[in-house]
Amino acid sequence: MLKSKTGMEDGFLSSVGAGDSTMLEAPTKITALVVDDDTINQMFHHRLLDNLGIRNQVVRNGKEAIDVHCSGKNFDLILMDMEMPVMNGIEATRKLRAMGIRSMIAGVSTNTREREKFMEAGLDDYQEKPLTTSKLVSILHKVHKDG
Amino acid sequence: MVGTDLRQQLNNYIQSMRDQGILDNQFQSVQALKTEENPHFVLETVTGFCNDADNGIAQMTRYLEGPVVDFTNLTGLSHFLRGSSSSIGGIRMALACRDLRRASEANNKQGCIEGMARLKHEYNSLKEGLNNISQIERQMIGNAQRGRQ
Repeated sequence: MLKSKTGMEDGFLSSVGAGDSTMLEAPTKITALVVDDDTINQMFHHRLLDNLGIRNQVVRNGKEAIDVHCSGKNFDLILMDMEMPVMNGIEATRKLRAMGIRSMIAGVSTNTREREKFMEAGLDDYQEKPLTTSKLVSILHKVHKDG
Repeated sequence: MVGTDLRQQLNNYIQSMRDQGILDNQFQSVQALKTEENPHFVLETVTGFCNDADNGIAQMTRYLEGPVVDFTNLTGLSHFLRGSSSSIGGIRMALACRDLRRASEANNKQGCIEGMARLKHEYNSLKEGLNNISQIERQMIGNAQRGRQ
């Protein structure tokens, strides 16, 4: 049974084959925002984060991501889909960076053709969908290192 | 024991879907998110996916069969369904969505008609399998709840 740095036993990390080197900062300290228009991906990413003990919120598009930050909220990690109605992930990432948001933003998409443009908008990381536990853990390690 | 039999039945069924190429490893990731506190997660995900796919495919059919093909919205929806089918592990359906999207981006009506037919075929296979999985899941949840009473 793996343990988080708080000493809490983490059966989930063990059950999904996370290695012994998977040590997260006290999970409840990390917060995340899921930005995705697809309800299945919303459910999936929300549950993935929940099971890792990461408090998270879900919004449906880039504009809602901007609005939630304008309301005063801040997150350690933002999982940003690329193609969304109203405001896409590229535009939302640019705006968040222009607002001075320094959270880790990881792009998550199936569209590999615009990956470079997405990265240039201000991403810290990019992962192809579907997001898996191991991909998410690799993202979270970067949050831990930069935090 | 009944519980073990059902679990074995579920595993065998999922493996057969993987052998046919209908599901890939991603479905295991969905299953891994099911916990004692949230035993309905797989059921909820499958239900949500099928609802979205039913509505999406119906809408895409309207876009394709209209007097003027709405390639823009057809492209958007095929991308949308590709994402959700990938997330649930429906690899063949995801590939069908990808190909339909390419035809739509090229404004290729005949390609879209063929792509749509293939997408519907792959979705029907996937949906049938997911419904069977859901049935076993419900039995397992029911047994677990009765075991706790």
